[in-house]
Order: sequence, then C-alpha cells, then structure tokens
Amino acid sequence: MSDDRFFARARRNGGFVLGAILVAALIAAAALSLVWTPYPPAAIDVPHKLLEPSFAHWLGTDSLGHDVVSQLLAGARISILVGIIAVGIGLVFGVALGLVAASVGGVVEDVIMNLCDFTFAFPALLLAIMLTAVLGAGVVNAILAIGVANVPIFAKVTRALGNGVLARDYAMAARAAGKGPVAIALEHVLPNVAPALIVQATIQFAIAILAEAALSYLGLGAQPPQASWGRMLSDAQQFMFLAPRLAVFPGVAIAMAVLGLNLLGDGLRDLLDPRLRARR
Amino acid sequence: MLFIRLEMAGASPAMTMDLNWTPTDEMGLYLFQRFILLLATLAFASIVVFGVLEILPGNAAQVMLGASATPETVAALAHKLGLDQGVIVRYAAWIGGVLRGDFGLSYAYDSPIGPLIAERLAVSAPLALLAMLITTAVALAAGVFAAQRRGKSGDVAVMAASQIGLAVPNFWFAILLVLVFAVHWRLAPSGGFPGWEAGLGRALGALILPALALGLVQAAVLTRVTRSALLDVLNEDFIRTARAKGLSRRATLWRHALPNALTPILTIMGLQFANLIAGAIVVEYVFTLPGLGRLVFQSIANRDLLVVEDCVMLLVAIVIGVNFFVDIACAAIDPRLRRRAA
Amino acid sequence: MLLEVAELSVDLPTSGGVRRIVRSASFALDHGQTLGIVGESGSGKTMTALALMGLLPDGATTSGAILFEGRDLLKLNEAQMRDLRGDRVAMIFQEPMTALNPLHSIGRQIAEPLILHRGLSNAAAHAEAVRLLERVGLPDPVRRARAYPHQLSGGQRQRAMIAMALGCAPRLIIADEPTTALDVTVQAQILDLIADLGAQSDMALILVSHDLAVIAQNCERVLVMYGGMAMESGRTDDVLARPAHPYTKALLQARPRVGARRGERLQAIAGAAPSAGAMPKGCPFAGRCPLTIAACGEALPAPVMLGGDHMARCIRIDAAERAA
Ligand SMILES: Nc1ncnc2c1ncn2[C@@H]1O[C@H](COP(=O)(O)OP(=O)(O)OP(=O)(O)O)[C@@H](O)[C@H]1O
Ligand code: SF4
Ligand SMILES: [Mg+2]
Repeated sequence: MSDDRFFARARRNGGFVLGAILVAALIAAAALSLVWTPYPPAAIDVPHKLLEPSFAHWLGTDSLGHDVVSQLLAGARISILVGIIAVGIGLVFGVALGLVAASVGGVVEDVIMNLCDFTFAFPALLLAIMLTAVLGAGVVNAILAIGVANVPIFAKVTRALGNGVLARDYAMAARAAGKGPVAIALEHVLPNVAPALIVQATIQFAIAILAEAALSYLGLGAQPPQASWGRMLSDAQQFMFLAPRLAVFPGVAIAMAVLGLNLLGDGLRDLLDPRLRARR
Repeated sequence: MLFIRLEMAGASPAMTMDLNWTPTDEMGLYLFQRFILLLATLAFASIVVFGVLEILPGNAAQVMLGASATPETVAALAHKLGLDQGVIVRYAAWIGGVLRGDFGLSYAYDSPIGPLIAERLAVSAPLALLAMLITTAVALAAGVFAAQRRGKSGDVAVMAASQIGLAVPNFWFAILLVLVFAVHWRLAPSGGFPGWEAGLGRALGALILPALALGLVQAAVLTRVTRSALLDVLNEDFIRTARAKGLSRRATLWRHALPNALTPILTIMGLQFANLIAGAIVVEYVFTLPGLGRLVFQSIANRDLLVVEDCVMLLVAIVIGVNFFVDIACAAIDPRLRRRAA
Repeated sequence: MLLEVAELSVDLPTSGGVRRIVRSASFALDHGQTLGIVGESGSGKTMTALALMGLLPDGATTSGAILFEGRDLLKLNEAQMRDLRGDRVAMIFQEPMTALNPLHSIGRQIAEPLILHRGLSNAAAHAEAVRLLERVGLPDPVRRARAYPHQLSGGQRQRAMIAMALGCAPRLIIADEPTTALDVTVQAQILDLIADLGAQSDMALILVSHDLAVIAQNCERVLVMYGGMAMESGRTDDVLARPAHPYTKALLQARPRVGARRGERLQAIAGAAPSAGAMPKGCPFAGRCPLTIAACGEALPAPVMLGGDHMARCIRIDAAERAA
C-alpha cells in the first residue's frame, strides 16, 4: 500500500485520528515537562496547599502545595518511561521466544507455549508484589514486573502469526533453497508479523500505563518526590472531602492516555490489516 | 485485545472421525488429563513463588530485619525460621505444611497464618464473587445487545462505553464512586468493613461499591469479547440451518448461537480472573477493606515474607483452579474440545 | 402449481450502495417436479433460494411475487414464514461441514424441526430421527444419532442434513449445491438419494448446481442464471437440445468434465462476470458475449418465448440461431 493511500484512509478513520491526537498530547506533555513546567513539579509549598484553581495555579495545588499542572505534566514522563521500557522488555524477549517456538516447533514450541499459558496466573500486580516484598518498592521493580508480564503476550502473537508465515509458499521456498531457520525467521517471519506486533505494542503500552498507575497508587511504583498520576491519586484520596477535584484530574489524564493508545491501536489494526476489521 | 482475539481464532477444533466413541469415556479421560495438568501447574507455580520469595533475596532474615540489624540477630532469626536449612528442605517443609493446612507462623503477628488468611478471605471472596457476578451480567447483556444491533446506534453506544471502560483504571473508578456515593450523596460508606456479624445488609452495603468498581470496569473487556464471539457465531452456516428449520431468531440465539459463543467467553473469563484478583487487591486498598490484599500490604510493610508467600500462592492457586474449571466447563459444552488433550 | 415465482428481484445493500442481486427471475414448479438452477459463482443462485425461504441477509429488499401453495411468501409476516420453513419448505445447504451445530448431537438436530412443527415429544422425535437416519442410508443409525457432527464424514453429514430436511415431509426441498463440498464418489450417491426420496414422497425439488451434467441427470426443468438474471429456462431436454441463449451455449461448450475436481467452479468462459456495483442496466452478459451489439447494453432484454415454455432473454436470438 502506498503511503498516500495509507494517510488518506487514516484520515477517514475517526478513532485513529482521535487516538493519534491524544497520544500526541501525551508525548507533548512529557516533552514539555522536560524543559518547562509552571512550577518545579516537586516543589513543596505548604503555605499554598489545597488552593483552588486560579490564574497562578491553573488546576490548583495539592496537600503539600505542589502545582497540579506541573505534576500532571511530569507524571506523563513516568507513564511514557514505564510504557516504553516495559513494552520493550516484552517485545525483545517475547518476540525472540515466539520466533524460536515457531521456527523450531516440536517439544521446544510446546514447552515455550505452556510456559506462556502458565504465566497468566501471575498478573503484573502479583509479580510486583512479590518483587517489592523482597527488593523493596520502586519504579524499577514496577517496570520489571510489567515487562515480564508482557513477554508471553508478545511470544504468543509472534508464534501464532509466525507459524502462518512459515506455512506460506515463499517461506517454504526459502527453506528449500537452503536458508537457515534464523535467516528465515529474521528475513521472512519478522517483517510479516511486525504490523501485528506494532498494534499489540500500542495496546500493551496502554495496559502498562494502567498498571504503573495502579502500582504507584498502591505505593509499589514511583516513590516521592517522583511525580506520578497514580501517586497523585493516592494523595488526593486522603483529602477527598476537602478537595475532591484533586482526585479527578490525574484520573482523567490516565484515562485519556489509555483511551488514546487503545484507539490508536485499534485504528492501526484496521489500517494495517483490513481483513480484521470485520471482526470487531 | 488482539491477543485475546488471536486466542479465539487459534481455538479451531480438530476435525477428526472416531467410530469407537462413547461420551463418558472421552469426558472421563479428559477430566483425568486435565487434573494431572492442574497438579503439575500448581506444583510449578509453588516452585516459582517459593523461588522468587525465598531464594532471590539471598537472606530472608536480613530482609525481614532490615539493613541495620546485627549479624547475630539475623542469624538467630534465620535459625528460628529454619532459613539455615537447605533449599529443598525448606521448600518441602513449606509445601508439606500448606498441604496439611498448616501455613506457618506469621513473624509480625506472631500467630498461625492459616486463620489470619481465613479471616481475610471472608471479605475478599464475597467481593470477588460479587464483582464477577456484576461483570458477567453486564457484559453478557451488553454484548448480546450490541451483537444483535451490529452497526446500529445501540451497538455504537455500547462499544463507545466499553472503550471508556477499558481506559478507566479500576481504582480511579472506585475513587469516583466514593466521591459520588459516599462524599456527595452519602448513600454508602466510603470505606471500611463492619464485619459479617454486623448483619448481612450492612456487610454487603460495604462491599457493593467496591464490587461495582471492580465489576463494571472488567465488564468492558468481556462485553467486547461477548459481542465479537457472538458476531462470529451468528455468521456461521448452522445459524442459517437453524432458521431454515423454522426456529425464531430468539430461539436460534438461545439454543444455537449463545452456546457456541460461550466457550470463547468462558475462556476469556477464566483469563480475566487473574485480573479480577489483582483488581480486588487494589480496590480493597481504596476502600480500606480488611481483605487479603490489605494483609499482603501490611505483611510487605512488616517484612513478613511467609505471609506474602502464602497469600500469593493462595491467589495463584485460585486463578489456576478457576481456569481448570473453565476448561472442564468448555469441554462439557463442546464435544470437540474433549479430544484435544488426547 | 405448487410454486410460481414471478418477476422476483432482490436488492442487497453493500458498501458501494444498493445492488440488485437477482433481476426479474420467473419460474414455476408443480408437485413432484424437479427444477435445476445452474450458473457460475456469484450469479445469484443462493440468493434466489434464500428468497424462497425468506432468509435473505438483513437489509435485503424484494419485489415481485413468490406464490407457494397459493400464498405470496413475500407478503407473509415472519411468524407465518416460520411455520412454513422446515415444514412445508426445507433447504439443504452447500457445506455439510459447517451447516450442522457442532455442539448438538445429530439426533437432536434432526429432532428439532419435528418437535417444533409436529409437536412430537423429545423421545418420539428422537425415535423418528433414528428412522430418518436409516432412511437416508446411514448404517448404525442409533449410534449415529448420538454422535456429534465432527465424528461423521462429509458424506455422512450431508445425509444427516437430508434427513433433517425430510423430517416433516416438506412439499418443496431446495438443495443448494448439496454435493459441491463432497468427494466425487459420494456426490453421485447423495444426488441419487435426494432424487429418490423426493420422488417417493412426491416432493418438488429445486437443485442448485454449477454443473449442467448434474442437472441434466436429475432435473426435468432447468433455469440458467447469469449476473442475477434468468437467461434461459424450460424443459431440460429442450434447453439442452436447442439452447437459444449465447450464455447457455457457452456453458454447454465449457461443461466441466464428468468427475471434475471437487469444489471446482464454472469459470471456463473468457472474461469475468460483472462485479459488485458494476451491474449494467442492460444485459449482464454484454461484453463477454460474442454476439454483443450496442443495443445489448441499453435495456434488460425481454423474455422471448421459443415454443412450449422454453424462454430465453436475449435480443439477438435469431442471430444466435443462425450462428449455431
Ligand atoms: N450478504 C451479502 N451482501 C451483499 N452481497 C452479497 C451477500 N451475499 C452474497 N452477495 C453477492 O450476491 C451475489 C450472488 O451471490 P450468490 O451467493 O447468490 O451466488 P451463487 O450463484 O450462489 O454463487 P456460488 O456458486 O458461489 O454459491 C454475489 O455477487 C455475491 O457477491
Ligand atoms: S442480449 Fe446481447 S449481450 Fe446479452 S446475450 Fe443477447 S446478444 Fe449477448
Ligand atoms: Mg451459492
């Protein structure tokens, strides 16, 4: 498909456009926070705590006098960081496992796939709890837990589609021509599963943001003074009677980011693989 | 979501022909095979839990006492906990105890862990069940509704709502529910649990908001799964056959379409159960419910490793057990699945 | 007359706008008679059959009339149609692999219309299902009734489908390519079975096929469809002996060898059938037809009667006669 046609169809896909705008906003917020925030996000200013939204503080301040806008902008950074690293871990190990499973087949494939099936019993949160129990709380453990939970998902996608590719004529021909399994996996399988992996990565990115927020909310993720949307919510909960608005903004931020990524993922799927469109 | 759909697409039944077939044999064999697999999975899970919690840190006693403890106190605690014994011995002792119903001693509470867990389960289990009930009822109704109106406004509305449900974190939804129903309208408590002895009404009242928070958010995924599974089935030839027999749309839906959509739906429900357990831990935290989740966090704070280990193992075992029953249920529904393990 | 279809048209909404899938088809059938509908893939055979059953896809609209036992099926409401379906009119589908519910036993599926239309008890319906399985020639019918579809071969499943269709002794059976998905050896058996059972009970049969040979063997009358239009119809002997329409002639020349590969579609005529949205206002065969002239594309050719009820829709019948 030519790029022109891709963009023409993309512009007509409402969900994709909305998703792309939301994701662009997320990235822009994180990027902006690197160079500018209205106030230093971590600056404690107790005399100005729990201020209503005003011209000085657009969304007010929290219980320690942090500027909410600054914290929201800085929080986008953690979300993106966790998303990229956790999805990266899942992609690297998951795709490798999936390619091995599809290429080698037999007992190796069975073992890998059974291991993947097995991991569903350990959702990211439970992994994070286990890691925190022995290593202490921190954003690194949160990332590790989310990343590990991603591995079997990418492995399964890669294997399922990889087996399909390997059964096609050109892969058979490559094998008949004496190409090794590694070469076939990298030259034929990987490029063919890449679109599905991109879609899956987008959706796992969204799930990673949700998981990071939950872990930070529970105190198992980002630690003070790191700004994180999940942590903002746990602080806000203690002042729900005094300043209920504080419990709204970070949640909206999380929901918008996740909605954007999900819509982008669904839109990409439609655009990259029109056959799947009918199944929605 | 793609992952889930691929799963369903991958579940194509084996088309085999077998003339020496009797139903009871086949189901019995399947049950037996699945049971063996269940035991193996549980054993493997226990090794993973034990491995992460007892081997990774190197010295559990050090973790428990913190970095400031003297080597002597660490050694003394290690001896008291039996940590100076070999790994295999410790694993055998732990598993042997768990199988006998002896979950060991809590270092922080200085009491047996079994009753501690039982007390917390009395909150967590009803919460999870209530949430699952809400998820199932909402998702099946909405999914069937949407599938029957494919592409029409009702379908679009359900899909938009579920898209939002996918994006909203369950703990934030819980906080919003508290804001609206507890802080604003004062209809329900904002947290805490009066205990079952306070009466069924009050106890359930304390669980209803947590269960809603958990159940409604989970329903988003299941609604989409239900809808797409049903749409797939409604496109099948045998649906047309059923209509050609003179069955009404409604009878076709109930007798032919839904049972066929049920296996993928049940399978996803089983996989979702792990998320439900994880979600319950978070939502218990929001509502300060004295459930298993709270016990785990307190124990992490207390560095009470054995309690964490027992709780995690219990949760993992529940998830594995639920999925075992899902597999059995699917095989009971779909005769083709019984052959797969063989 | 058992069935009289007059000027039947079917319109289906597609992404490219509403499309006329069946264009002014007319045919008639008496008790116990057999009619073959032949045409290449996409010519509208299945849609014509589904229109008779009242089972067109959602959003389809129809015009014309389908008189069955004196009533116009297009004017019946859904409840009245339900009473007919599976009872007075039954249908056998193309794919026995997927046309049976994988979760229900064969017996249960055959019993279902009996319970529905005949009011039989579960037990009585089951016993009747076993008898029906025996009638369609399945050995060991008691055990077959308990089996699930995946435990039967394709031919066995198709026999089960026939048993299901026969259950209520319908006056009309529509068999939509009942053997396309089956092995060659099984094809003939299944066709014989359908023909025999139909003749025994004086049922009328509409046999849809892409194979003229099959229809020549099994049907007294034939309807040749192309691009949603009934190009030629009449007694099979007349049509095959004196084909008047250029398309029928092409079909006869391109007739697949007896015992063609299973699933093979009629596609031996150069060029492609008109595709979605591109349905011309004139003769659908225009362009592909060797006798095409400018006038062909201008209006739907009117039916030309050629003696008896032999009919063909072509503005150049005379030229075609001469060319032959
Ligand atoms: N649900 C639908 N919506 C829109 N168009 C359809 C639908 N189903 C079929 N069609 C179109 O209607 C036309 C007639 O289809 P039909 O199934 O009647 O052909 P057929 O003669 O039975 O072909 P085959 O030999 O392949 O079974 C085809 O061009 C097809 O593309
Ligand atoms: S009307 Fe014209 S195009 Fe159509 S069949 Fe006759 S000669 Fe051919
Ligand atoms: Mg057809």
